[in-house]
Amino acid sequence: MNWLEFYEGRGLVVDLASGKVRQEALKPEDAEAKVGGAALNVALFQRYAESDPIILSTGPLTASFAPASCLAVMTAKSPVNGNLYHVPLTWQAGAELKFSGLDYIVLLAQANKPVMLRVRRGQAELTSAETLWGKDIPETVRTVRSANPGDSRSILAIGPAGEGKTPYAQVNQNFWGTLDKAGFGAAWGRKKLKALVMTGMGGRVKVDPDHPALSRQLAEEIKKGMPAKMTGSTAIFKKLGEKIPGPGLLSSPAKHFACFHCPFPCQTFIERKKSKAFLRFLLTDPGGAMAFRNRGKRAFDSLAECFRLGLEPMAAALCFESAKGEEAGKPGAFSNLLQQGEDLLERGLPNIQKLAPWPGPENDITAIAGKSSFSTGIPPIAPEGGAAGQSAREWARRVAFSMILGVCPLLMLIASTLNEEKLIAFMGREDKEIAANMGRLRGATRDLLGEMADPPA
Amino acid sequence: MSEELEKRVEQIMTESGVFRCVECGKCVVGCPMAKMYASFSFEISPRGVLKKALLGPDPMKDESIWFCTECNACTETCPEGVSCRDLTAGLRKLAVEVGMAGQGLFCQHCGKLFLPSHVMKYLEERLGKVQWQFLHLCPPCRRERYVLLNS
Amino acid sequence: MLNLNKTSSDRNSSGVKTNHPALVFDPRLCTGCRTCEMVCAQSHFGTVSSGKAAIRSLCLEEQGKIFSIYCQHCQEPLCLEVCPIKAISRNAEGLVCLDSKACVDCGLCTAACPEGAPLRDPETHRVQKCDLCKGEPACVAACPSQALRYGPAKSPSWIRFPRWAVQAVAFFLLVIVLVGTVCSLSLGDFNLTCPVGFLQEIVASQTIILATIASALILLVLTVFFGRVFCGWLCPFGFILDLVGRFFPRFGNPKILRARQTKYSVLAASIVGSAAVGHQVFCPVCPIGTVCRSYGVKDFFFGSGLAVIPVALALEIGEKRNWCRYLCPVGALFGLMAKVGLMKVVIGAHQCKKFSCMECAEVCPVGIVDKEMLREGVSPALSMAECIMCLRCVEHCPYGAAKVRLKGQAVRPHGVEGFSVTPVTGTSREPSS
Repeated sequence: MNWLEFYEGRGLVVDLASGKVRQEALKPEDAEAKVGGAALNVALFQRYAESDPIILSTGPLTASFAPASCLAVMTAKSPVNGNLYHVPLTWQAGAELKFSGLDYIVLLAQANKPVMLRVRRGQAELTSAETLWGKDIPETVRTVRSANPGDSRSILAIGPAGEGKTPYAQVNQNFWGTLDKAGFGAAWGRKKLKALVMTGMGGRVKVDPDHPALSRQLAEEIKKGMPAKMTGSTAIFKKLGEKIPGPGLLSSPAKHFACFHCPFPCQTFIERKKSKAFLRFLLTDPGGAMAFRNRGKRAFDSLAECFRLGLEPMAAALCFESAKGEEAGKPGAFSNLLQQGEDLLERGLPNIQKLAPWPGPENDITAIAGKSSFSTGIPPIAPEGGAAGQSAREWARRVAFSMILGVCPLLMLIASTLNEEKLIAFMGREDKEIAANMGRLRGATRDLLGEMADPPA
Repeated sequence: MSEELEKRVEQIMTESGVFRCVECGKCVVGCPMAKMYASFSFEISPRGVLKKALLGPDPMKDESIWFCTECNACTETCPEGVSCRDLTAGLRKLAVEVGMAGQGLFCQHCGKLFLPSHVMKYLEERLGKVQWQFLHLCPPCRRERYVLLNS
Repeated sequence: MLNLNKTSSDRNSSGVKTNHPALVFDPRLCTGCRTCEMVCAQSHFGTVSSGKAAIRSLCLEEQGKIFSIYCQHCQEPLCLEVCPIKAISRNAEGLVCLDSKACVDCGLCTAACPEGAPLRDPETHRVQKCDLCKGEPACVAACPSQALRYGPAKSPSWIRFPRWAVQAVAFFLLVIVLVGTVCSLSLGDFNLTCPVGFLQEIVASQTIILATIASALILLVLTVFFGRVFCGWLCPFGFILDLVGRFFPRFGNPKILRARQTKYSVLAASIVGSAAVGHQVFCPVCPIGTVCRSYGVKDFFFGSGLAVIPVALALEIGEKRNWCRYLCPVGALFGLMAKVGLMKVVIGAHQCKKFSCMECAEVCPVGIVDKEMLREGVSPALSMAECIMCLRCVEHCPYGAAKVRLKGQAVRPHGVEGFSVTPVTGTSREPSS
């Protein structure tokens, strides 16, 4: 199997200032050295560093039969502290990006007027987003989709928060939040990029006839390792040893959603009747939910409101805590956070001047996660079976190689039976193929983690 | 027909390669309309629509553009690469824009043009005078409705 | 031209439909992982691509609903009727096949399908449809939550044995063996009285003998518990209708006999009439009573009252159980009781194959399964006032969708936001001849 067949072989370079969209070939040496995902993003970031880049990419296993092959990775400098961060984008983003025929998208410079980038196989166009600017996330997604019903499976967009460039802005996917805790919403806002619409529906992903069976086998192994009734968002909280942050999570029949080709649904769809309306959203952000738990019954309302505005929930919750509490209860409290960060400081409104850390007890894993370049939204679940004292390193290692290969880091943390060998098998099962691919992956992982890369003993 | 509209029609014709037509008639041979309409004639065939567009005026006002199913068989058999489907689709779109789309059926949910009325008549002929609601929805909205009814 | 009321001939000797291969999808288990799309494309085209799949996992994100759309291989495929070049056919196994080589991708099949199941690949513009992978559907094996199952399942066709047996025994006892009839029956200390006759009697004589109330209540209480089981399992006239009705051709009803409420009027008229006249007016012409009375020591199937039986029987040329549907006041009274009863027959939407099967609509003797609603993709609610609890729907449903439940149990999905459905209500349709 030619391992390059697992790539689309193409990347898109978008110059937002000039409005030009250019396709370039994926350099085989990049794939060789960096494999894909977060590691590839670092190389691309350095290459285009002068033009204020934001990079999105998939890995070679994205949209393959590897379990949870849903991942795209977004890498950029955080507007909050100027450091480089990697954000995992799950749900449909990775699959649809791959189906659009692209390995990566590089977003450069800044547009003069609000724009929207739409990609599908063989086409990419920048269109004006002036009518979308100002709309909240659900309105934006509805408007984009109504133009083409049955299309646009994955829409990454910013809401009023991102447009206002507040550092607590997030890039959202479809109607809900993502694990973007680095404030990339503001980065998009600065670029006047309102949305990235991926209308995949194509796809020519390389697979073998025995991959479905292999995937099924791995799914069975994963399920065996889980206690029954551990499904949905509850599973994440249980693995963390945390209490469920809000009512309605365990209500049955709760609907649990799984990302692209993931055998283990870890996102629960919350539906609750509130007076005349319904509160409905998908719990895509466990950290965000936990951050609001001190708001008791209103935890989920707050989370949903953050999703609506494109606000990062962990930061928003911290802002309210730093205020005197009354601020948090005022109507329109969230709207205040939509203003620029500096404004908030001047006006004495609640703010934090940093990235929000994981809203839970501190331990080895949160320490390493805080120092790493991975989004703080990735739950600090301790992978099982590691040697004592090694769980933090193992956490970092698992997140790293999953975000290089293009599979979801959460499943890697929850399912201890999964490892690199089992994933690499989807790129070839002959010994020399495995050896070659493992070598590449280990190299890329090492580079990504710096000195944290030694495999556990 | 105003200049602006003429330009638009010209553009549609250029983009669908109408000027390359050599009148071989291969498009008519594969066209399923022959099996759908008892009144099938040159007028509504791909060649007929093309001729009408070439001779003008106001091809988008003509009823003959509302029989085609947009299957693309004509384009695929055309030796010159003319796309009668694109011509018909373009003219229909133009007709909708200028408000002359009386022969088109619009989805009762999303409002998009999804079926020409003559094709709907053909469906009714084959299915009988049925009152099924779903027939008046475009396929994506129909699927959405089915999901909402059953989950 | 589609004959909407033709019945399929592919039944086995017990009358059970045999060839409807179908994928059954349970939305309660689906997580929206789209693995079904992946393996469908992979097994047919060797690559993963959601556009090339014949199954689509739709996610209505705002409402939190996930559902898979795919061809149901209908018994009466609409796509087959409208394909202009006859590229769609139904083979002996019941598989609806689309010949890709002949297909010109006009999309008319999608336009006719109630769920828009034939899917178009946006890249190649080709239309394709589930072919059940030649008998081993890839999606069924691959689904990580087993939300897809491959039918056809077996239906509980044994139900007809106890029903015919009970009907026969009831007939035997009520008509031939026991002295007295449903109207009024004594067996030692046990008394049974027809409640309609009872009502007529008390208004006619304007007295209520308290001791007799219990015997009148027996059948009513039975109905409150089990619905109109009397009509479906015990009524001797119903037994005759079921037996004989098989041999009747059916032509549909004239306009005056289309309203189910007519039987309530007959009930009201019987009671009012009895009050006016001073004795029971309906009982002498009641076919049920007449059947029971027709066998006596001397008068074996003799008597002028017997004229009522052939008349009521002749109604069968209109529709099945025509008497029971529109005219029988006994059924009307039981219907009223069944409305406040404890049991219901329901069609669970998660298992029901709706427009692709419609078996229950075809076998229901009182025609209360609204075929038009099934066509629209909705599993209809059944009126317990009309249902005679014969359980033929349960007996013939290959998917376990038709079942008996307690009134309070929630069953079907309810409610549609954003779409209004106004189906034709469950009145009889004229068959097209």
